[in-house]
Amino acid sequence: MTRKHPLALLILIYGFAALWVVVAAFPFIWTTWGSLKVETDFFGHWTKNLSGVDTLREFGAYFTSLGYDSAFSEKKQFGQAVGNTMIITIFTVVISLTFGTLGGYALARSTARYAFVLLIIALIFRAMPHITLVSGYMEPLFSWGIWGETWVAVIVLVAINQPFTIWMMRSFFMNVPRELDESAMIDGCNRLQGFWHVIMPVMWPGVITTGLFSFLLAYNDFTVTSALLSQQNTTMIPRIAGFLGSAQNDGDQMAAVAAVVTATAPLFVLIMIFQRQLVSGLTAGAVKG
Amino acid sequence: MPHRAFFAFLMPSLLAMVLFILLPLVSVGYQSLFSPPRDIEVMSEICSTNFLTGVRSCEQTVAIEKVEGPNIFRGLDFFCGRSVLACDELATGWAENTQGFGHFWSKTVLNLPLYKAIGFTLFYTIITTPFILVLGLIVALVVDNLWRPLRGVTIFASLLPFIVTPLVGSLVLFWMTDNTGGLLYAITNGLAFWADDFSLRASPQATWAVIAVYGVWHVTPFAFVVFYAGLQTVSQDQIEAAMIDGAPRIDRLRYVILPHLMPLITFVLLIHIMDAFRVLEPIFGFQAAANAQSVSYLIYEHLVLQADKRYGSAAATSVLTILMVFILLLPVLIRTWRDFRVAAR
Repeated sequence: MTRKHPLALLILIYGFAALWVVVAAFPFIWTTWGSLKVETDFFGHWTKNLSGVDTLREFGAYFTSLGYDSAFSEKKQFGQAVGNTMIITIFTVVISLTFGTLGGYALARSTARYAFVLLIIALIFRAMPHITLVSGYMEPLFSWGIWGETWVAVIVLVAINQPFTIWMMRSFFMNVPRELDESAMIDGCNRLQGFWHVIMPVMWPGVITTGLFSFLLAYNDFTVTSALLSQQNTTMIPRIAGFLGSAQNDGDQMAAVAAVVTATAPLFVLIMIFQRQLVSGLTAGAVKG
Repeated sequence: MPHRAFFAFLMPSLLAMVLFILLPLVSVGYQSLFSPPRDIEVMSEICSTNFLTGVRSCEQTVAIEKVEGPNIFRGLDFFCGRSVLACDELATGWAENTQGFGHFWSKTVLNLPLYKAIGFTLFYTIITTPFILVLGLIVALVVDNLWRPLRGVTIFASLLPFIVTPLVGSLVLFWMTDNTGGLLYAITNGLAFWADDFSLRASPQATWAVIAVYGVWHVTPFAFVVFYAGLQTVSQDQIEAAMIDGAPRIDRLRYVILPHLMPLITFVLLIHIMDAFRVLEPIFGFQAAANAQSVSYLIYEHLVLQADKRYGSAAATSVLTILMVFILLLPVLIRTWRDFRVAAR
C-alpha cells in the first residue's frame, strides 16, 4: 500500500520516530557505555561519562572492567546470581510450558460450562498482584523449613504464571481447527497421540511465543524471588536490589551498574532474535479479545 | 471433549494453581483474621548491692516471654490497624478536627500509609494513562507510515523499555537524574528556566513526577505494539471510501481508525490500571520509599523489609488490594463471561 504524504508531514513522522527511538533506547546505551568507566565519570557530570577523563587518568585507557570485576568478585558473588537465574528460569519455562500446553489444549477444546468458570477464575488470579500472595507462602514455608530453596521458588513461579500461560496457549490452540483433532481420532489415534503427533507439530510457534513470556516473567521477577529465596540462592534482580543498599557504604556503585548491564544483555539478544514472536504475543490477548 | 480427558489434560496446571494460588489465598485470608498469641512483656526487678558503698538498688527490666498456643481470632484488628485502614486514627482525627473536611482529608487521611499509597496509585494511574494512550497511538501511527526497512529497528528500540526488568529500567533512568550533573538532570535544568537548581530528587513532588515519567516510558511500548497490530487490521476499503469522500487525514483518524482501535484502547487501559497496583520495583530503583509508597510496597515492607514480620497487616492489606483489583476487573469478567455464553451456543 502506498500513501502519499506532504513533505511537512513526512518530516514530522521521521523526526518523531527518531526522537522516540532515542528516548526508548538511549538510556541503555548510555548505561552500557558508562559501566565501563570509573564511578566519578559515570556519576559525575555527563560530559565526563562521554570523555572518561577520570578513567583515563586512573587506568590509562578509556574503558575499564572495574565495575564488572567488583560485581563478580568473591565478595559480591554476582556470578552465583547469574547461575541461579539460569537454573530458575530454565526450569520455570520448561515446567510452565508443559503444564500450560496440556491445560491450554483442554480449555480450548472443551465447551463445558466448568471450563469457562475455570478460565474466569484464572483471569482473576492473573490480575492479582503477585505480592498479595507472598504472605500466604512465607508463613507455611517457614514453618516447614523449606523457605529459601531454589525448587520452592521454581514451583511458586510456575504456579503463579499458569493463569497467564493457559490463557495464552488456549488462544493459540483456538486457531488450530478442531477438524484436525477429529481426523486424527478417526485415523485411530487416542487423544494423547492425536495431541502429540497431529496438533503439536503445528503449535510450535505458539509454544515458542508463550515460552518467551514465561521466560520474561521468571527472569524479570522481583517479588517472588526476593521474598522467597535465601541470600545464596537469590537471582540477579534481587541481588541488584541488594547492591543498592550496600553501594553507598562501599562507595562501589559501579558494581551495581555492571550488574544491571549484565542482567539486560540477555534481554537485548532475546528481543533481537524473537522480535516477531514478542509482538505477536503481546497482541494475542488483545486482538482476539 | 469428554470430562475425563479434559481433567486429565488440565490436571497438572490445575493442581499447581490450587496448591500454590488458591491455598495461599486462603492462607492470606486466614492470616488477616487470625494470629498466634502475642508475646507478652514481663516486668521484673533486678536488684544489686554496690561493692564500694554497700547501697542496694533495684532496676526494672522488661523481659519478653514467648506464649505458645493456638491462633487467636483477631476480628477486624488487622484491618483496622494503623498501617491498614486505621479506624481509630480516622475516628480521633475526625473528632478532633474543627476545620472542615478538607483539613481532615489532608492532615489525617493522607498521612496514613494505606491511604497515602492508594493516593499514589491513583495519581500514577491518572497522570500516566492519557500520556501512554496518546503517545502509544502516535508512535503506532508513525511506525505504520515509516519506510518498511526502518520499522524493524524502531520496534526493536521500542520494546526495550517494556521488556527490561522494571528495577533495571528505573535504575537506568535514576542514575541519569544524578544531580551532580547527570544527563537528565542537565536537560531538565536547561528546560526549567524558572528555577536555579531543579533537582529531580529533592522533593516528594519531583519523585512522584519522575516515577510517572518512568511509568509512561515503560508502558507506552506496550500500548504502541497493541495499537500497531490493530492498525494492520483497519479496513482499507473504509479508508479508501473516506479518501474518495474527500475526508482529510484528521477525519479519517477520528471516524475510521479510532473507532476501530476502541476495544484495544480499553484493553490497554485495563491492563495499565491493574498493573498500577503492582508498582514496586521503581520505588526501590528511584530510592523513593520516603516520598512515594505503592500498595504493593506496603505489603512488601511488612513481609520482607521488617525484621519482625507483620503477617497480619500484610495479609489484611493483600485482601483489600485483591478486592480493589477484583472490583476494577468486574466489568471485564462479566463481558468475558457473556462472550463465552455466546460462543458456546
